[in-house]
Amino acid sequence: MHADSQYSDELTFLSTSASGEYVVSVESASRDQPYNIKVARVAADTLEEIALDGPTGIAFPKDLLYVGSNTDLPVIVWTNQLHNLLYINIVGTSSIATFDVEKSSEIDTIKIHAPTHSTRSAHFLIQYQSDTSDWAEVFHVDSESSIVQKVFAVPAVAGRAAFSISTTESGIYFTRFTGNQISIFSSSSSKSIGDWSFPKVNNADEREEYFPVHAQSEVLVRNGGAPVIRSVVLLSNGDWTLIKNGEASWYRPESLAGIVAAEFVDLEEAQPLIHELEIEEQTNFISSFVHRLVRHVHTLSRLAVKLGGFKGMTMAEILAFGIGRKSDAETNRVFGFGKTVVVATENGRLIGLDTGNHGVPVFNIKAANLGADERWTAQAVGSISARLAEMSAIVVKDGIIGTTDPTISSNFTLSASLKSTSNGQTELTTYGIENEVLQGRRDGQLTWQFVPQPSQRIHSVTASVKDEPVASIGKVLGDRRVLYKYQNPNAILVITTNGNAGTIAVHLLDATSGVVLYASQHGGVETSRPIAAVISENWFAYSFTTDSIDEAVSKGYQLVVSELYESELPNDRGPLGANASFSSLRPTVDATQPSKPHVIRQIFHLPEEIGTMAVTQTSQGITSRDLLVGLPGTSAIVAIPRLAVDPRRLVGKDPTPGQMEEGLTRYSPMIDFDPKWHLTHRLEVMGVRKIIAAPATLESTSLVFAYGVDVFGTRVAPSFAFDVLGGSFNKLQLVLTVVALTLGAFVVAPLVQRKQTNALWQSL
Amino acid sequence: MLRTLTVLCALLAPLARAVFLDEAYKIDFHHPLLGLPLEPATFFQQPQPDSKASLIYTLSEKSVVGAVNPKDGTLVWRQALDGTESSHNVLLRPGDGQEAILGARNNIVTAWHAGNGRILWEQKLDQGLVLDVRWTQLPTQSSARSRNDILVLVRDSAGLLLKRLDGTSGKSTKRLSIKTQNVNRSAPELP
Repeated sequence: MHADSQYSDELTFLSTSASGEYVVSVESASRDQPYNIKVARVAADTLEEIALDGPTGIAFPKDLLYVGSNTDLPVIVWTNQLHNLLYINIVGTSSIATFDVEKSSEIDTIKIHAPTHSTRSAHFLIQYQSDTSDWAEVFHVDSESSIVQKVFAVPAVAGRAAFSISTTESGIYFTRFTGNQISIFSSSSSKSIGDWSFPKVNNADEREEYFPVHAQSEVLVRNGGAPVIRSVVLLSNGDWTLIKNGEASWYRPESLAGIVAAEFVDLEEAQPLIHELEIEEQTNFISSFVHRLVRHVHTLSRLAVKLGGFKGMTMAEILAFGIGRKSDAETNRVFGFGKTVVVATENGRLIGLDTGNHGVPVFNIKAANLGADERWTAQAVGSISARLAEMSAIVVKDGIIGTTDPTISSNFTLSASLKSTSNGQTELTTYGIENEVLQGRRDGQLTWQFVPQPSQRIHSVTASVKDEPVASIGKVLGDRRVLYKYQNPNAILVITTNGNAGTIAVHLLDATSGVVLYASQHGGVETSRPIAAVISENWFAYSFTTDSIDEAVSKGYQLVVSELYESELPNDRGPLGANASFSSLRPTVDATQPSKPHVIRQIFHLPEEIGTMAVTQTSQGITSRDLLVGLPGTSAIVAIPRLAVDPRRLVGKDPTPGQMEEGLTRYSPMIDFDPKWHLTHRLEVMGVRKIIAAPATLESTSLVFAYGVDVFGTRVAPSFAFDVLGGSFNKLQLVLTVVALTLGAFVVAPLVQRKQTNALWQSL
Repeated sequence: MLRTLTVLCALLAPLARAVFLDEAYKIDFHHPLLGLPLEPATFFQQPQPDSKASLIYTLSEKSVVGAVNPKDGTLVWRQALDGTESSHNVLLRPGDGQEAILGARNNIVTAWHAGNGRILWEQKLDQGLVLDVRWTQLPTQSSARSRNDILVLVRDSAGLLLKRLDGTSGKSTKRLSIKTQNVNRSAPELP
């Protein structure tokens, strides 16, 4: 409620003006007494208290509504316990003016809008907000007599309103913004001197009534002319917009700075063809045949239109070589570049960003009702669910937003859920942290627990991306032998930290059975710094900051990359052999031990700290993967090629030709971020908290989205864009060459024929 | 020979993996944001007192101080304030006619140049929490100073401390220690 001091937990304020400097404080007389407001003037060596004649007791500290400053006659405004009386004191004087508050029982908030520069006239406005309406009163302070008077009242308006004050040379003007209207009036009379209807701001949902939260304006009033005003208004949907004379000029989607969860969602309808084929599969033979015939007839009818379109499209493509890859909507749709990212923001909104069109928000929906200072703690969006603090779920599916009831107990934090298949049936195991212990449950029953050591606490639990495609079951070595990958889609990486001793322990668990597949620990770690982790197909990586105490030899940033294989010998399938399936729940090796992977690990030093990590995703997993890292220190995002952080890099010797074919290089402990790896070229992406990646339709490309304070999205082609013709491909030359060769063939063929016939005659 | 050549060529291929110049701003997008602006800390101010152009300065909920150009909404400059998780106890004050923006957080008082956001000076107080900071309006004594003085109210372990800083250099010129008898030590409950 303090209009001019932000969220200060302390109760002492400064007030400066041309007449002096003052300290205004709220102190409690004793433990039981309510608080007292005291004003003291700053003199040369001491504070001289100014005795106020009038009631200065307040019930709560927030009842001191406003302390003005930096203007000619700053005022202090406070209210009594019942909130039906307002007290106003001009700082530096001792008299207190009292005013009644109308409808005090309905009032939610009282805001004061007063000048903050030197003005000729000391006028201010007090705004009253209730659930249903907003109204205001304008007060004048007479500079000679130092008397505060209520001059007029601004009529009430239904709904929420925002007021702004503008101090100009010709006087003070107040502007009122409601959901429908903007009106300006001067501080001397309530008659409005300018009226506009509130403009529609881009991408705002028409179904929702959004209202202005707060506004600041600049007014220019020419003599006898209409006022010119530009104001910057924060709307309830999180957009910060500039309105100039009743027209919306620009808007900034500032609520995107508080994204809590994001997901790439394919909002286009499921391919109609797939739907039709499914129908045909399920009906009987005759009707599916008839259905297919009908479908083909429909497709034929559209053929004529398509053929007509071909001509224009081909001419445009052929003649447009060298201009560069066109990124229009059609290309995006065909290649899958234009996916929508649905984000859940802190202020309870779901916003969709179109990545194919410069990340412009396409919809902005209110998803949660939050209180004034509440934050939405959604954990995931998209195919799983977004969880709210009060444990109800929102499912975004086929572009429909709905709410469902919770099915899991209220103090169970859902991390993710994994499938395990046994006997052909799929069972779902969910795991989460409860009371500092990682637990796995199936059908609500506790099936396994992972308890960290007494001095350690769980720092993070990381799982691989759901349904990640893996293209090959093994890694082919240079001599054509195969190292078989240990692939367990249910593996999760658990990192626990011990802050006092500076150690971290890393465990790889199978989330369906809770078995520890691999464990490792590191000493000399600075546990208050970010520890990022990622796990993908058969490898995982984590990074941390080392501290140079005792054990660690150097202070720096380290990246640990580990790969899992079935066995350390190439061409060996390991303990599972060539079995078609494996069971996480029933141990296989000598009936007591589950099969554990062979881990090859390597540690690299980094030039700077990594804040978050992700791995690029492609639709079939053939393309090699890049490790995407967010660097908070330089506000950049870097894509490290997998080969640069391969744990099998050779230590101490050069690679043989066979190993060079694999792509292995000699190990060097330092990884310098090659400038070409930076995805954020000249951009400064501030405060990256999380990066997500999703496949595009093209196999070579992965879509990347990063959020934090800034929002950034791009496409990455880790193995170079091998399935797309580059923009500089000369299609015109190709076509001309083919045409020339065809013509040449037609011209030359009869000549050759005649020559052959003549040769036959001559050989007789 | 041929094999090593092909291998070398294969190794060269990764060099081509970069963001190409003609794709740079087309395949990627970037929203430079500040965060939701706080009402008491958002204002119009003229960065240069002699020109009429004004910028919108704000402090956001994410503790980012920035200036936005009102003509097109682009960011002119921004500074992320470290060490503050949320915007509690962060203050921003306009400095009309001073070509500077004044801000305070925890125990640091900073002045930024209004036009380009560079730090003019930063004063780190020994200990304590800045409760309030204001430009003074009393006429300055010497005309050589281009900026008014600044008053800083600090709460430290000994009580309240009032410091006077020089507006141009940020150096402390005077300090006044206030021992308040009835200081409410426990945090008041704000219902």
